[in-house]
Amino acid sequence: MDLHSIGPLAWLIPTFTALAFVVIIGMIVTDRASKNAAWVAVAGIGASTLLALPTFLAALGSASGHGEGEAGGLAIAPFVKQWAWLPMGRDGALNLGIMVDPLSAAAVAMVTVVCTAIFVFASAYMEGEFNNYRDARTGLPDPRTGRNRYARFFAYVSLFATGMLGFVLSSNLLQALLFWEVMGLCSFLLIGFWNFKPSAAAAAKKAFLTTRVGDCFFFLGILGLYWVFGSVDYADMLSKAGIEKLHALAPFAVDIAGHVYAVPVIPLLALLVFGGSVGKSAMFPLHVWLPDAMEGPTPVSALIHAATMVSAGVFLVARMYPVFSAATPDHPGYISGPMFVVAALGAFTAILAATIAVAQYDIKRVLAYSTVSQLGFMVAALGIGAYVAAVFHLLTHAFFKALLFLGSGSVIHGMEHGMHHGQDGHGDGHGSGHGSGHDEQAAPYQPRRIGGVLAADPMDPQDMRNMGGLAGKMPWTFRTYVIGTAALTGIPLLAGFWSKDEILAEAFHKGVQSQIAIALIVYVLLTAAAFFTSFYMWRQVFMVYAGKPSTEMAAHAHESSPAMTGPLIFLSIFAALLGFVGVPEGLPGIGPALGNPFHHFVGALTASGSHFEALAFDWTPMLISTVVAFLGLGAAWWVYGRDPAAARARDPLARLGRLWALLNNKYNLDEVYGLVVTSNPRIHGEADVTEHDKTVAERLGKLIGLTDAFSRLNGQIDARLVDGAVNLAARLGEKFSRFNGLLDRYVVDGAVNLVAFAGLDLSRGLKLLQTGRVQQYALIVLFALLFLVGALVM
Amino acid sequence: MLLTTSNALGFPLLSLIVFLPLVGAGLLALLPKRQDGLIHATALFIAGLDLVLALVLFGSFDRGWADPATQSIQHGMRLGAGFQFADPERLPLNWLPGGISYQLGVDGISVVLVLLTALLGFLALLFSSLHVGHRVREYGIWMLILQTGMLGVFTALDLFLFYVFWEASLIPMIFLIAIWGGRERIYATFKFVLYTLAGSALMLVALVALGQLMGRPVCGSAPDCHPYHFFTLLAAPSLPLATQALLFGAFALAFAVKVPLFPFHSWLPDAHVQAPTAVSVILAGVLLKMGGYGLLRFCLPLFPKAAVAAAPAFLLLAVIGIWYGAWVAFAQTDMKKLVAYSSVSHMGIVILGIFSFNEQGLAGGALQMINHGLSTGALFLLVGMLYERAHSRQIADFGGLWQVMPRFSVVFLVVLFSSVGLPGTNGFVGEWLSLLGGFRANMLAGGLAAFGVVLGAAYMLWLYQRVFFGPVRGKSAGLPDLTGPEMLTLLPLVVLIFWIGIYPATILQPIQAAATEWLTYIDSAARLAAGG
Repeated sequence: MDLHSIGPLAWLIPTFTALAFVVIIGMIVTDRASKNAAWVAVAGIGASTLLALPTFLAALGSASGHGEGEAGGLAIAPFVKQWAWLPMGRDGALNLGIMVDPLSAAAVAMVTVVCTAIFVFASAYMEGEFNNYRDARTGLPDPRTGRNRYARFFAYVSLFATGMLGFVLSSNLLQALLFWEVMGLCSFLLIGFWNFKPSAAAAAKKAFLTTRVGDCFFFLGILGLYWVFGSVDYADMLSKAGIEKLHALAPFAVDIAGHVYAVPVIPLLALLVFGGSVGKSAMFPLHVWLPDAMEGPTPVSALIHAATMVSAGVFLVARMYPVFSAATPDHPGYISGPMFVVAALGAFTAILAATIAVAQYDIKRVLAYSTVSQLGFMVAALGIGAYVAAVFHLLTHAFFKALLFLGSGSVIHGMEHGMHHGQDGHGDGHGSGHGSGHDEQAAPYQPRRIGGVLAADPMDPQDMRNMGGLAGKMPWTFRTYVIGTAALTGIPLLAGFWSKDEILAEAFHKGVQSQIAIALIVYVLLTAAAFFTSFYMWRQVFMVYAGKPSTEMAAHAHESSPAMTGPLIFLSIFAALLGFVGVPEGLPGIGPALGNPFHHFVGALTASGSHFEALAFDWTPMLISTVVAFLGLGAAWWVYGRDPAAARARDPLARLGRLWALLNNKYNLDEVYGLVVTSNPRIHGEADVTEHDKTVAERLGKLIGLTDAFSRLNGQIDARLVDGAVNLAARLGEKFSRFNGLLDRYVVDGAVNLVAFAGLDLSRGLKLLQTGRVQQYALIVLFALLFLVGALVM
Repeated sequence: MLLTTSNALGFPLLSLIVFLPLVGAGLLALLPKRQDGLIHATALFIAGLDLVLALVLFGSFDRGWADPATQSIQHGMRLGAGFQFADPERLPLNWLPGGISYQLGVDGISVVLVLLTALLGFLALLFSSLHVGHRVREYGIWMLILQTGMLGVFTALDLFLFYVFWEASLIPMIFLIAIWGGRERIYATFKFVLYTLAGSALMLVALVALGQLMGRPVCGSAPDCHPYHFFTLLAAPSLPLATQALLFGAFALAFAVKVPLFPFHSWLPDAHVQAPTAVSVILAGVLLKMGGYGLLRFCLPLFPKAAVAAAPAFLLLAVIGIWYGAWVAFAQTDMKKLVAYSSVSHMGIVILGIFSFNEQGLAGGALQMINHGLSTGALFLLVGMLYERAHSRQIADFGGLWQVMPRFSVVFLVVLFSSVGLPGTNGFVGEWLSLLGGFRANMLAGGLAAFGVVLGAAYMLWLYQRVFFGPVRGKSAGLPDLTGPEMLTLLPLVVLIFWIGIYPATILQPIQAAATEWLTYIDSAARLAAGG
């Protein structure tokens, strides 16, 4: 089909899901919520998919030369349709619109397909919400609220998909921000879906605020770009003319205390935009929200971690790539200043998160850190100019990570069945008004630490130490999970192998052959990260599926319904085969036959006219990464696979002692950030806190408390100094007033208050030093980032 | 073009809108004292009728640039220019000796403020009819008089008339806070009155000086000339910078107190917290806008040189206000006080926009006034509704409201996101324009202000998490969800939050047209040289 006949309809792609959202909200408002809500959501995303795929194919058609007459024609002249939205006076108006180019066409196809699978899975997974919701206070079944909550879940995910689709298809940066924030809102609502759990409520806030710190940079970047271009349309910014306009800009002079510094504009703008990606794609130092985001129901984790939100950050860098690379026009192979930052941050995040993932026990938490690590791969790839490889990995990762998250959801579902089997035998408990079951138990779990690592809660259906033997209990979940793991760890011929290899090959090429230092560093770090990836993923597989069940829960687990295994099988097909669209052409045998269509499609950059040349094929990096993947698998087998039950009972790597505890505690980063959400005693309550946390908390809290004290101090200044003059006048007025009671109230009360306050002040002053709050954390991160950006720009 | 008046209706609609509440107040005075229901109904009817008239006004307002593509001045006559619905249409009415005249009119900025005032006035009375049972007749009378005062401020074309309305809106406020307020109401009233009076006393002096220095020379000995009329002053030759600076300072101080601009804000938290809910809504929603409106309407065009010179100081204070308000909001334990301090922060954004001296900033500042009126008005209503149930506003007293009051929680969340400027809501459009304007005027100011916005999200979400999430706690247990009439009170605000967020042109077009026009006027070098 021709893009010009189907392209004008592309705005319908996000509209279908938006309609589903509206319909479901309508159902709730009119008290007609039922299981149909899930089908409305599936129908919405299904309709989007049915439109997105032909659009993708049409784009494929016009990119390969039939449409515009030359290869990459679609990239140079993308299909754009827009409508005036926000009047800007003499500057005209800002637009809302859609843009179909290779990048957005490929991404929109991925998003719709993955989301459809997730929605179908969720329709079954969320049934617990539907059937077993109990009133939080009385503990009585509350089917009406249950129905509403079930429907609300599907309303949120539909809106989430709308956000991502609108973001991907948007024709300008402001609209991108608009839909980007819609995603932020939905993540807030979905991560906090079980917000009666304090940990979920805290995680929701953390996700929203952390990403918003990044958004603020993004927003400033947009302001700056508007200031440069007088427009926020991609067509104006990313075209050849636009990039030339950027080059023509004089450095921006900053006068600080008499010294005039010339700040180059392009790196500044690029890094500001990148700030948004750092937040949304969970790059260090703003990565902390993502692992906590699994407080939401598992399908939400799949949605956030795979298809939507985090991909959006990488997508943004890919979209704005011409601006990033524009800083150095004369050396096409050279890595510009902002790209250097991008590459370094990406590679660092990749290795940081990969090492943390090794020491986690929560099945979803391992996957969460894996996501952070894989995003690091993509971002690092963009930083070293491996644009096509990054986008390729973005797409393949979406499929296998969605598969893995849904698989873990299936496991948790099965475990919860097992748990309830041992008790009252009815239904599944997750989301039955309590999120996780253990607060109902007779003997409450006492958190304790062994060697600095929190011991397993025997009633936690997500703790891998409670699992084992699930391969036989949940055969389809097991098979698909292994495919997903193999794809992620880069076992040859599966999707992740090709995409990850392409990133490593480019890094190898630039680092070793072209001798670019940063590329070499990226190569070494990513290869190490790839080893850890393989290790922690196979560790997980052995812990979850191998050997004999370690608990009653695992022993009674059983396979999930077809509505859940179906999407798993569907996604596993992509995880296995999708890589073949991007096989290097130079690979002997299948390479020339497949012809690397992905590179030809995405390899041309939007509007700027540059084209990425495919690398000459090189066996070395491919062999190295294959060896690394199998090494990781082998090591995992050696440590965990030989006697999985014993490994679950006592982790062999715990012998690492303090290092293990450090990894398990995520390098104490959360604590460093103000102990806010994961271990703030006030918020987290009884669940996770031990003496260890408290001491770390107290030490760091003293530092962070200062900002809190400052905030209070401002309040005091406001109440005392600023008001002082006014109060004085008021007091004089009182003497003449007829309100005799006043004197009593002010003078007498005042004296009382003063005495009380003097006493309070001392204790309060001390207490102040030990509090941590998310806003301080946000602030500190913000200043750190400002400092970082400042330091780099200078 | 600017100094034209027209009245397409040929009917004194504006006077009707402005004085209908006053007539209503008179009507209430005639009603029997004990008939609370009847009194509420009458007040509500009057306010509702006024709202309908304001909607008619807004609907028949000539928007001019309906299509941004055809925003040309080529036809010689641009639509949507000047003041519309002037009343009297051509020449002002002689009102008081000394050339003080009576004429009302609205441009694109004031027409939306009139609509906002009528809407919030109606909603405030709707809320009051549900929750106020003490001295109902007096309450209704003061509320309606207040309404007339505020509407007059936004429509007066003679500066003296403006001043009269300005002061007239103060008196009902005193009684409303002092009689129906909270425990510290007397103190709060004192503070509010002292602050405001200090400002307006200076303004009166400056106003007289303005008439003598600028208006008189234009008029000479012409019999039908009005030296305080806005148009007379606009047509006058510009004053020397030193004189401008003095007059500007006096006017700006009065307006800055009202806004309130840091560091003149400390009356606000007390007044807001002590005032009854409906009055807080009006106070935050409309009264603060009188300050922003005054700066935009009078200070900028009448003292352009002084305003430009003072702009950096105002930008600085605006940025400090944005940060400071947000920062202090963190430390609050009382929800109402938190919302009050958020006003300081939000009004900083308004000032940032206004003093950026570019189209986006001016329009953004004006739009942000409307947005703040809607979102803060709604927040005060919501906090008030909670207070009526639990008799507490302490954050620590609540928890888990999401499970107890789902409808309330959803509405609160929508309003909260509007307040923090989430895209898709009105707040985003206003913040985008204001910050863009600020950024263009001064990158540092724009940048710092943008970071202040993050802070805004933080304290609001912190509030939300503690009050609505987590297990049901404290006074939350067993609270009834929103009732039908309460939903009805909030519905228009929620609709507008999304409407402006998704299709801003409805409100923004008239604002933008007026902003462009005023900016052209202010920038015009020709004007500075014009002999009058």
